Amino acid sequence: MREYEILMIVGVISMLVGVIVWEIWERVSKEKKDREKESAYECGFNPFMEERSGYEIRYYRVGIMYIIMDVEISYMYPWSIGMGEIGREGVIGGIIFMIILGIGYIYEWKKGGIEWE
Amino acid sequence: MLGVYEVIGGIGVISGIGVIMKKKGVESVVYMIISFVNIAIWLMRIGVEYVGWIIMLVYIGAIAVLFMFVVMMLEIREEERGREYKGMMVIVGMGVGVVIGGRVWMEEEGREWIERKEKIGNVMVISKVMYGEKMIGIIECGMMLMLGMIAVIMMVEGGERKKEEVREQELRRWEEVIRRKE
Amino acid sequence: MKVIIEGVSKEIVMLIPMLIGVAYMTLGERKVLGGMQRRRGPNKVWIEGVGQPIADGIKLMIKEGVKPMRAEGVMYKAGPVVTWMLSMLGWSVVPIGEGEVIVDIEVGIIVWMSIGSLGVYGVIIGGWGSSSQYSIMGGLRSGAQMVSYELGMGVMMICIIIIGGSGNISRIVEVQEGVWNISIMMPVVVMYMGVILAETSRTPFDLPEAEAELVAGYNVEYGGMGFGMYFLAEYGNIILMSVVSSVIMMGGWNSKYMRGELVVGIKSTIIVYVYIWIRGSWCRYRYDQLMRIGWKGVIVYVGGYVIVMGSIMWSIGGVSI
Repeated sequence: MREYEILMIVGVISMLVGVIVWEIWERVSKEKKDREKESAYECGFNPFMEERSGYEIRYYRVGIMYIIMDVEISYMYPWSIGMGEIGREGVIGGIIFMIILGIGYIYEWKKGGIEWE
Repeated sequence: MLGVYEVIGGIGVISGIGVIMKKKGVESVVYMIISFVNIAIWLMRIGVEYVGWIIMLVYIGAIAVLFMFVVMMLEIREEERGREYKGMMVIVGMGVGVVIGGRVWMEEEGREWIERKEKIGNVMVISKVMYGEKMIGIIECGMMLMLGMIAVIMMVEGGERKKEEVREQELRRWEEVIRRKE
Repeated sequence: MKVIIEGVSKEIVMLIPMLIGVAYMTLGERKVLGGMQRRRGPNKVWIEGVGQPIADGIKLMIKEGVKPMRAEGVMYKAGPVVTWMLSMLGWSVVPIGEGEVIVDIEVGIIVWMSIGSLGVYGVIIGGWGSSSQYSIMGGLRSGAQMVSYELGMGVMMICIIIIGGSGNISRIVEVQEGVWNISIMMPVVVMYMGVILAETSRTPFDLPEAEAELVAGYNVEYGGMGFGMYFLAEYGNIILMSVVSSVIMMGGWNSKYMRGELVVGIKSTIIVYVYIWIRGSWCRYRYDQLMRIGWKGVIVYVGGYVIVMGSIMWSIGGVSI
């Protein structure tokens, strides 16, 4: 319990240090306002399209694959920590769990689900 | 006397309301992340640290990232988000929260877990339950995750933009392309 | 009250050496890169350029901040702050000597992993908040990159936990007294190096900074200390990653001849040097190559290695003493 309280304090202080540094910087450095300077970055012309105009679905695919694999990994942590205690059935069960996911992964691979191009 | 943890719980509830009250999608997701962090801190406080860290790893580190990608991709307009239902959503959400909370409060099985945890440590209890008594569950989970993978293919298949092969581009004559455009 | 004093003092003891380390790592990087290209590197400020990082810091601090007109106030500010905070929070669970750790948690390595997996947010929020096409695009791309290599890292950690028989980092070091983990992990150690390079987005995986394609990625609209905080966090992550690698892979503080902290320091300095060396001699991967290495290479091989090594470890009863 005590450890987590210290961790929380460390987190709060880290954030405060960050905010304070930012605020000091904003006060110290005077900003001379200028329309061109403050417009969005572009190579010498006005932007052609809205900046938030939708992006490709591939990122979504990467995200959802990441969720599935991440859940798998978080199931495997108790398996790896308790490996000495769970006995033969437990170890084999964990390996079966990984193999099932491996089959899914192979299917995905064959269907081209993890290709980027 | 209001302790630190009560304040954290309060922030969790308020940011939960913020999720449905905010206009921009990304801001909603940020509120959701804050609410998840508070839930994780509460779980650590009641002694199930491992579950708290898994919430950090899976919910905040993976699921909220996916939501972030989605709201950044779709760029949902403000008026499309069903403004008139917001008040009702808050009330319904609180009702569901009370029901689930009461159910958890009355649960007896949880007590036994915490007693076992005192003896052999937090992760070991989860490990023994997952890979010992309830092992069939883990196999089912594997099956479900596999279904999820197949579902990804099904969902994404139609939506992807077909890219031209570089070779194809090189082979094609540019005069023809211009003629076709005209 | 006692807890607060303890937390604050530990934080200060951690923060100041880390900042000095980061500052002098930037100088060291420029010197080493200069040496690799047969030039001198920075050598004007004070003796052989020792004052250079301080001068750089002052310059970043007094530089004019240009906040884009369309930026979302809070989110624009939150990007660097969150990155910075997570970079410092990661230090708190990593021991650098016997019992020398801020918080000693039973599942320390998982805690470190989950803090590391939050690092995506700083990048995505900052990129989104600055409301420029290039920064949003860069944020998405770096997010996808970090997420892909996070998985490889997670599976590696399963291997480490199996060898150590525990999630506690001090325990993992104790187990390595006879044999370093790097020898048991030998088949995947090159992939481990690749994963830690990609997690900290360094060459050859420094796609977030690929100038040619994306101007400067997610931090294109940041100047002055906003950029400085991203920069400090990135270099802090590199040093942290080196310390963690030397602790979990290269035997940690086990030594008969020297003080443990010194041993960890020397090992991590060597890994930092390898980082810079790779930057000086490798060229960058393309984005689809990066994704291919992540999804078709690292995860598949390391996943297979978990099954093989797990079975062997279990059947011989583990290496635990």
